[in-house]
Amino acid sequence: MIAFVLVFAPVFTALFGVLFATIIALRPPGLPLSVRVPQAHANDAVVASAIRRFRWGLVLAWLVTAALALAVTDQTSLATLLPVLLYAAFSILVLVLCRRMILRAKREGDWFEGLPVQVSAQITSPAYHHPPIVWPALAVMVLAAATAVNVALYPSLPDPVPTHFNAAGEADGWAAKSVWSVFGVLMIGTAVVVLLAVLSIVAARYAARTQADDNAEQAALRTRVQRSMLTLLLSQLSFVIALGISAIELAQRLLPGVKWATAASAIGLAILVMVVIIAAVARGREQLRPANVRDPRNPRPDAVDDDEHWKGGLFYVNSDDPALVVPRRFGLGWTLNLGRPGGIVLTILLLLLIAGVVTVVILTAHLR
Amino acid sequence: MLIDIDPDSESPLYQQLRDQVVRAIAEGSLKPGEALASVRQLAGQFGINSATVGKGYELLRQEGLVRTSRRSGSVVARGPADEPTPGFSAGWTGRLRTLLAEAVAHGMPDQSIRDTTDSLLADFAASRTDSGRSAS
Repeated sequence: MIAFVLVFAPVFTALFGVLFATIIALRPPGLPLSVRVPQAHANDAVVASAIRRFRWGLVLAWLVTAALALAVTDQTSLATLLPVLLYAAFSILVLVLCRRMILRAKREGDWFEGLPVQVSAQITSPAYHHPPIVWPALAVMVLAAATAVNVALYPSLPDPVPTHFNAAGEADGWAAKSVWSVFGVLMIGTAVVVLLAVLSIVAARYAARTQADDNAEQAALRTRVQRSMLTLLLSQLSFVIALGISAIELAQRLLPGVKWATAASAIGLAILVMVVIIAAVARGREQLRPANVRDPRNPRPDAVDDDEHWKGGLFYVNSDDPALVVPRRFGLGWTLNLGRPGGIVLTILLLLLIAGVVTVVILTAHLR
Repeated sequence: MLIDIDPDSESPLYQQLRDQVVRAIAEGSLKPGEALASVRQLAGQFGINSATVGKGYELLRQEGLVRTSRRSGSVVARGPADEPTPGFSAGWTGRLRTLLAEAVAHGMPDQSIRDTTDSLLADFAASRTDSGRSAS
């Protein structure tokens, strides 16, 4: 049991750290640590040293989190989640502190004073990029196979059936045998796969804003790569989650005596999710390479300095902007405009949804 | 098709939008029948007020370069291959007179005005051939 925790927490936080670092690598060159910087100052010493400090800060955050994770011996699902949350909070703190260095230099040097700026947008509807169908199809097939096995095993399952296993793989929760207690996990898995498929369609259709800090073609390429990266990522994740949930389910049903089988499937799922994300980000980074090359003979106007609308570099608050959803400035995907009532309502709904899911997970884990 | 606007420019944003669409039509990167983004979409992309984009679209509609229907949204209505609308020439000549007067008043020789005009027209034609080739 101890061995499992020893492996799980550091591996999980390390993967999370790698993920965070890779996503940071996706940033456009004009946005170091989510500060809008004109091309002329992108390679200033202060920018380079802030980024260096940020990287070391992340390493430090990981060391502290991993040490804390080892110290926590509590086996509940909440406790295993804690290091990750802690790491996220620590990284955000490091980000806020390091970007201040750049912000100060920018303010004192008046970097945007008198610079030509421009914003660019797509006036024709961009070609609709179809999300890949193969991954959701595979996900459905895997879930169907796991359901078929469950149906075949149903008559021979014990009553009550074990429904929860501790980190060591020993059953510590049981429920009366019913369709819900046997197929519930697979149903939730199906719901997650459907949700991810819907999200990948939305991501493919949503016309993201293109901001010009380069030439128009490069800005368009950046939008296109972000979009295809996200749709592919979401559909691959749906497959990996279906695979992981089916593996955990089948390990419990087919190998009830093998204690490590469930735990191994859970760790496998976590690692696979991280690997898929890191692979997607690495691929996107490769595709983005031509979008980050600047032609010094043909200087382009810079993007508009919109730092005032980005609180902490992470949260977008702009009441003049009619867009509810804008591309994230830092990392991958989109974020909500908290300057508009609709954005605030959506954010509250989202937070309630997350809080609800976490509560349900914790309650089902503890009250069985 | 990307449109760039300069938020710090003297020229108002709706005028910049209108000018860029006119130029895109002349250069063949916007073709008759091509659908334009809705006012809301475009304002959301630029991060500017919807009314500003609406004003730019309204100018284009009045000029007959864009038409809007409830079913298909805003669509490019004309192109270089179409006959100019009847009243167009008179208004345009008036604006050109002002532009030419500017050049003459600043001491630009007639020949150099003609050369500039020719080279700009040649650029439009070249872009049209390019975008025609890349489209087919």
